[in-house]
Amino acid sequence: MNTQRVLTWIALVGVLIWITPLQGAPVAAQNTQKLNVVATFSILGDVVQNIGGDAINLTVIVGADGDAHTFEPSPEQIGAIADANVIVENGLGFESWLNDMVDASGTNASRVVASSGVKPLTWADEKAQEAFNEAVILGKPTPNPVESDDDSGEFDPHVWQDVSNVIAEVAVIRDALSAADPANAARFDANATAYSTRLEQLGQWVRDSVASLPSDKRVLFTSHDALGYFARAYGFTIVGSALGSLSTEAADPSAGDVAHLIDEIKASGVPAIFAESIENTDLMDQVASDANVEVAPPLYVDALSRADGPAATYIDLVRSNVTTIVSALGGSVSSP
Amino acid sequence: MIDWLTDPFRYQFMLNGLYAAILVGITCATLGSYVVLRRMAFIGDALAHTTLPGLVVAYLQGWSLFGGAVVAGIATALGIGWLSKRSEVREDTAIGIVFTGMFAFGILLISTARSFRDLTHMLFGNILGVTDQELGLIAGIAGVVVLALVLFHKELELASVDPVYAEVIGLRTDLIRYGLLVLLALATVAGIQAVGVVLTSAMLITPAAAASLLTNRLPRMMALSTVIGVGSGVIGLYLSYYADYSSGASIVLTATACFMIAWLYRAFRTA
Amino acid sequence: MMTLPYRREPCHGQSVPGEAAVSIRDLTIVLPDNDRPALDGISLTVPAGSRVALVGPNGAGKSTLLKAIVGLLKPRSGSILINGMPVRSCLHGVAYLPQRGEIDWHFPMTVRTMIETGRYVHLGWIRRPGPADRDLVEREIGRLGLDYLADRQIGQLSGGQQQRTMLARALVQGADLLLLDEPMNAVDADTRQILTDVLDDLRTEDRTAIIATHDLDRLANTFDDVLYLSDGHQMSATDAVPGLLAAGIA
Repeated sequence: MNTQRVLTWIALVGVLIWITPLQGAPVAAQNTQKLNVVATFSILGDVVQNIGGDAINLTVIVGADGDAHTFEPSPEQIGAIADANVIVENGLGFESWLNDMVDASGTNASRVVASSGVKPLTWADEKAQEAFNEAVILGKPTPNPVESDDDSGEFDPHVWQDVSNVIAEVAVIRDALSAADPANAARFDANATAYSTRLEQLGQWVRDSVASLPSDKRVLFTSHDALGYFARAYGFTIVGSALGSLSTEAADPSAGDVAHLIDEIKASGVPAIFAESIENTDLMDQVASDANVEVAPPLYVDALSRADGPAATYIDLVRSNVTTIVSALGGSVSSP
Repeated sequence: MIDWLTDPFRYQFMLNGLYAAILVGITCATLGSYVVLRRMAFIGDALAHTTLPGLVVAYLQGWSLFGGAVVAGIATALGIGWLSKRSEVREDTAIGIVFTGMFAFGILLISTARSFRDLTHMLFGNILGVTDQELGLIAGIAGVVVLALVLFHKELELASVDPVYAEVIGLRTDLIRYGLLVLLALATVAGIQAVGVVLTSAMLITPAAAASLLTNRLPRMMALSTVIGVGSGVIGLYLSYYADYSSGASIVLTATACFMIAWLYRAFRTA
Repeated sequence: MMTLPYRREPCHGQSVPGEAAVSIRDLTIVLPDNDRPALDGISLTVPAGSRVALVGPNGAGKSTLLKAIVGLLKPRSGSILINGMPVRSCLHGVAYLPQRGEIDWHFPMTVRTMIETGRYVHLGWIRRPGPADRDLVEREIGRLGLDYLADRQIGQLSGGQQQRTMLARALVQGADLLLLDEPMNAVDADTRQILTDVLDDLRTEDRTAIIATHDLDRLANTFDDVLYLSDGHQMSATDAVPGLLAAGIA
C-alpha cells in the first residue's frame, strides 16, 4: 500500500507541474520592441512576413500543409492570440474557428480582414458557372446559368489564387501594421512596395505562361473547390463535379460512381486530372489508367508546403501550381 | 441481357475488382469453414481489427501496407494463441481487451497523422482501387491458404472434431491451432483489401455459416461456402456498379442474404 | 507415395517379447491445480490378451489411470510400460475410448469418415485413405452393426450408436490394447449385445482390454483381473467390496 501512496503523490505532483504553464503564464516572448502579429494560415503568414520584415514577431496558426477547414486550436495557440497586437485573417468564412479563439483568449488585438480590398465571388455564382461549363464540355444540355440552388450567399474565400487579389491585400495589411506601429510605418511601406512589385511581375509571368495554352485546352478537371478565382482570373474552366463527389466520399465509392467518373474524364478530353492530395491514391491511379489520363502532381491550394517543398512561400506556391497546371495540359511556362 | 452482364467489365478497375472478389471469396470462405466450426468467429473479427495499427504504421513509414498488415496479423495471431493458453484471464476477455486496445491505438496513430480521410479506405475496403501488385499478393495468399487446407485436410478436420484422439495419435493440436491462426491472419489481410477491417470477419463467417446449414460433410461445406463467398463478391460488385451502393457493404449484405435464404430453406425442409 | 508419420514409430515387432501388455509400477499422478494425487502408488500387471476391470466410485481415478496409460497424462512418479516399451512409443498400439470425450458432435462428419480417421495414424501427413483402408472400415462398420448409419452425421446417433462408432474406429486403428471408460453406460440393449460380442472377439484376437466399469455383473463374460480404486488408492477386494456394495456397484 505504501508504494501505491508514493505513486499517487508523484502523479499528483507531476500533474501540477505539468498544468502550471497553462495558467496564463505568457507563452510568446514579450518583446516590447517588436509588434506581435498573428496570421491565421501559412499563405497569409508569408505575405504578412514580407511586409512586416524584422519589425514584427509573426505567429502562424494553421501552418504549412495544414488544413484550415478542419483545424482544431491548441491552448498554446490561444495563448499566442492573447499576446497578439494585430491579428490578420483572410475572412469570408475561411476561419470558422477564429471567433471562438479570440473570445477565449481575451485579447485586445486589432483584427484585420485581409480580403476586405477584394471583390469576392459567391459559391452560388461559381457553381452555376461550373455547371454550365461542364455541360458544354461534356456535351450535355446546358442549365440556365443564372439559376443556382445555393442561396446561402456565402463567398468563396480562396481569394489568393488570383495574384492581383493578393496585391490588394498587401495594401490593407500595410495600413493595419502601420496603424498599430506608426514608428515603423515607413519601413512597412517600403517593404510593401517592394513586395507588390514582385507580385506584379509574378502576375505577368502567370498570364504569359497561361497564354501558351489555347483557350480550349484550359480545362481543369479537378476536385479542388478552391480554384475559382484562378479560373476566373486566367481564363480556365473547371469541370469535375464527379471527381469532387468521389473524393469527398473517398471512404467508400461505389463502382457506379467510379465508372461514371471515368466516362466523364474521357468525354472532357483533358490530358490530365488534378486530384486533391488527401485522397485514395490507388483508386485515383486506377481511374486515370482506365481513362487514359495522367494524374498531375499535387496543387498547393490551401496552404504552403513545408520549407523543403516546392511551395514554401506564396510566390513559390503560385509558380509551382501554374507550372504544374500548364505543363500537365500541354503548354510551357515562360522563363521566370 | 449479355450486355448488362459484361458492361461493367469494360473497365479495368472492375476487372481487377472482380479478380480480387473471386480470390478473397475463395480464401475467406474455405478457411471460414474452420472459423465457424471451431468457434473462432470472435478471433477472426479481432484479427481484422488488430491489423489496423500495423497498416497505419506501414503507411506512415512508407512501407508496404501489405507487409505491415501481414506482420501485425501474424504477431496478433500468435499472441492470441499464446494468450488463450493462459488461464489467468478468460480467453474471450483476453482477446477482447487486446483487440479493442490495438484498434484504438490504430485510431490514435491515424489522428496524429492529421489526415483521417487517407486511411478510411482501410476501414471500408478498396476493392475498386486494387493494384496489380496487390492482386498478385492476394493471389499468393489464396494459393498458400488453399494449398495448406488441401494438403492437411484430414489432420485439420480431425483436430477440430476430436482433439483428444488427435493428440493420442501424435498430432500436436496446439501447433495445428497456431497454424490455423497464421492462415487466418493471411486471409484477413487479403479480406481487408476487399471489404476493409470492419467487414472482413463477415467474409470469413457468413458464407461458411450459410453452407453449414446445407450439408453434413466438411468438404462439401467448404465448396458451398466458396460458391457463396465468390458469388456474393460478384453480385456485390454488380450492385455497386448499377445501384451505386458501397462495394464492401454490398458484398457483405449479399452474403448475409444468402445466409438467410439458406436458413429459411433449412427451416422449411425440416418443418 | 512416401509416408510422413506423425511420429517415429518403434512398433511392428520391436516390442520386447514376453513382456506384459501393460506393466504399471508405483504410479503416482497429480493433476494440475490439485494438491492431492489423483492416483497414488498404483501397481498392476496386465498380460497380453487378458481383460481387466477397473472398478471404483466416481472420482476414484479410473479415467485418470486410463489417460495415463494412453499417454495423455504424465506421471509424477512411477512407470508405465506397454509391451515393455515406454508410453507413446507406438502410437497406433493403444486406443482410448473416453466416456463422452471432447468430441464436437455437431461437426459435419459422417460415421464412416469418423471411423476412417482411425487409419490416419498409419497414413501420416498428406496421404489419403486408399482402397485397403476403406475395406477395413466397411468390415468394422458391418461388425458393429452400423451399416444403415454410416452416412449419418455423427450427432444424429444415439449414445449407444456413438459408442459403437468409437469402438469401430479403435478396431480400424489396429490397436492391440483397448482402454474403455464406462462403455456400457446408458446404452441400449442392442449396443450392449454388440459390444459384448466384439469384446469377446478381441480375446480370440489376442488383444488386451482394460475396462473401467460400474457394472461387474453386466459384462457377461468374466474378467481375468479386477483393480479396485478408491480415492486414488489401490484396494484389495476384501477392503473394496463392502464399499462398492453399499454404493450399489458390485
